[in-house]
This record gives sequence, structure tokens and C-alpha cells, in this order.
Amino acid sequence: MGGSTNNYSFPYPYADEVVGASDVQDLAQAIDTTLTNWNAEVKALHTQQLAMVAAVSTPTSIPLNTTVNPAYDTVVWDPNGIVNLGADNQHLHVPSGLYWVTGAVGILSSFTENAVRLSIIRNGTAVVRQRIFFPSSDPVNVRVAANVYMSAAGQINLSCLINGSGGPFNVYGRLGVVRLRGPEDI
Amino acid sequence: MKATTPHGFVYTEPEDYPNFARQLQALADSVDTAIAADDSETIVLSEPIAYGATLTTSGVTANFDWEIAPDNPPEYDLGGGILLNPDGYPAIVSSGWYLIGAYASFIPSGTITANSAYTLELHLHNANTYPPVVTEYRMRDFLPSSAFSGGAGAQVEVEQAVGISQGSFISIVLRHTNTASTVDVTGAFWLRRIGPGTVII
Repeated sequence: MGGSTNNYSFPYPYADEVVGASDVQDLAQAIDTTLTNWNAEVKALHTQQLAMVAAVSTPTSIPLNTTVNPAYDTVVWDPNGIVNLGADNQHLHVPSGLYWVTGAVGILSSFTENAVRLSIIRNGTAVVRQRIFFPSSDPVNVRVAANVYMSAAGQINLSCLINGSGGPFNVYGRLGVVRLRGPEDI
Repeated sequence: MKATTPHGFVYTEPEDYPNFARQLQALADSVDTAIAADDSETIVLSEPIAYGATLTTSGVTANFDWEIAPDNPPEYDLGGGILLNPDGYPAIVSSGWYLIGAYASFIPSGTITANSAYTLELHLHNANTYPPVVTEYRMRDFLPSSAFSGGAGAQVEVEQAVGISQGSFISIVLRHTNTASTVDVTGAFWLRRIGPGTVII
């Protein structure tokens, strides 16, 4: 019968006790158990992070003055097998958590004067938008990024709106979603 | 004579012939302390503090800096690590590196003056010297005429990784040059602690 440490209850004998090999073994096993549990927690911390990237690799046509959700045709990286473009090629369906979301589109069609608005949409509502005006006829690129909190499982997507003149426009793009914190931490 | 391993585990040199039970206790305590310290470091490094708040203001006049604060509580604030100053500005309560970002949607209440510009800025302040602004990051959008309002106005987003000292804070500044109309603004603000680091302000 001895004492134990403050944080992890490692056992040790009192000074007036007879010390045997079992005391050393008990201490060694308690430390081993603590480190094993700790390693499991650290591993869980790393593996809870999901990353998904979907791309519009083949340019899709977007008309003027119409908000369009780009349809993805390629899964770039999805280590947890979350993306299912066959079931829904416009949204990434994610579990609850805090996410770092980035999106970008490129517009190949030339035009004279246009404004391009790119939005990150959470469950149908815009979280953040970027609208850029382009006066020249060169192809254009717009990007947007935000922390996005999902209080429950839901969907994240991009939407693109082109105002000005001309069209339809050939658009390609990419949507990346990285989970920073899992639901177990919220 | 007590000695320690590189991780701080305590043991006694054999020639000192100590009480073996006390040796075990010293070893157990030192291992316990070392693991607890490492465990807390792991939590700090893996614990991003995120803060999302929305902001709204109306009647923003042209050619004037509007410094506004979030008007809704955070969606997410892990551990309550970030506090709002009494004046509403988000305050940083622990030093480190942060990824900060803001978004503003400028909707003119009337005509868009030709070549109007819409600017969103993130200002970093030292707590003891407000004002002046210490550091700022900005994004500027440009709408040439009312033909490009399209019900969308100007939409601007900016983010930046910065090192921030304890007690410093961030403010959001809006400006536009549309002299024909005031502007209504909605937006959002977020930040996330990405780790400890060298303080730059």
C-alpha cells in the first residue's frame, strides 16, 4: 500500500515499506498505460481532420446574370472517401466541425467589362463573397476563403455570378474543404 | 545525489545508496510531471481558437473611414480564448500567430458613381496605443458604373496570417468613394490561432 502521483496516479511505495520487484513493475506498467493512451489521443487528434478537394476540370458554361453552383467533375484529394460526385456534383457534404474552405474559379471566355462574384455557401446561405471587376478582355481568376463552422452535418459549395455583358462563359474551378476541429471538440 | 534524464526523470546515483522507495517515488513524480507538461503543450498546439461574428452597418458615407465592430456573438469560440473589448472590437488575449479574415458586402442605397472603389481593411492595434493603427491589410474592389450593381454591389474579402501580442486587437475599417450614394454593409469576421510564435507588434 503506497501513494500515487498527482496527474496520472503512478504508484510508488512509502519510504517505510519493503520494496520489491513488483513495485517497480507496477510503476513501469502504469507509465506504459498512460503513454499508450496519450498516443491514442494524439493519433485521434490528427486523424479527425478531413480534407476534400473537388475540381471543375472541364470548363462548364455559365450564363450572364445567373448565379450558378459550379458542378465538379474530378475528385482531387479525398483521403476519407467523403466526396460522392455521382450523388451530388455541386456540393461537398461534411460532418459537423470547423472548416477552412477555399474556392477559386477561372473564366476562360474573353469579355470587355464584367464583374465576377464568387461565394462560399453554407447550407444554402453565403458565408463570404468576393466580387472583382475586370475591365480587360483577358481570362480572369477569382478566389475566396473563410473559416466555416458547421454546427451539424451539412453541405458546402461555391456559387458564381457574372455581371456585365456577353456570355455564356466557360468556367473552371476548385473547392477545398479541410476540417480543423472535429465535432468531438465542439 | 539526484540526477535527471534529458526528459527530467529523476533517479539517484548508485553510490549514494538511497532509500529505494523514495527513489521510486521521485521517479514516479518526475515522469508524471514531464508527461503532464508535454500533454498540455500538445493541447495548446492542436487547439486553434476560432471566432466568427457578423457585422452590419448602414448609411456609410463616401470618403470616410468607418471602423465597425461585430454586432453578433461568435459562432464558435473554443475555450473562450478570445474576448470582445468593451467597445466591441475583438481582442486577442494570448500571444501567437493568428489567421485573421473579414468579409464585407457593400450595397449602395442608390446610384453607383462611375469608378467607385470599395475598400475593406484589417487593422492591428497595440492595446496601449489606440490609435494609431500599427498594421493593416486591405482589399479593394472597384465598380465602374451602376450597370455592375446587379443587386450584388461590391463584395470584398481579405485574410492574413499575423503575429499578435497579448492584449492587442483587431478592427475592421470600411471605406468607399461612391459620392452619389451611402452604402449598407453586412459582413463577417473570423480568426484562428495557428500556433505560438514571435510577437511582431
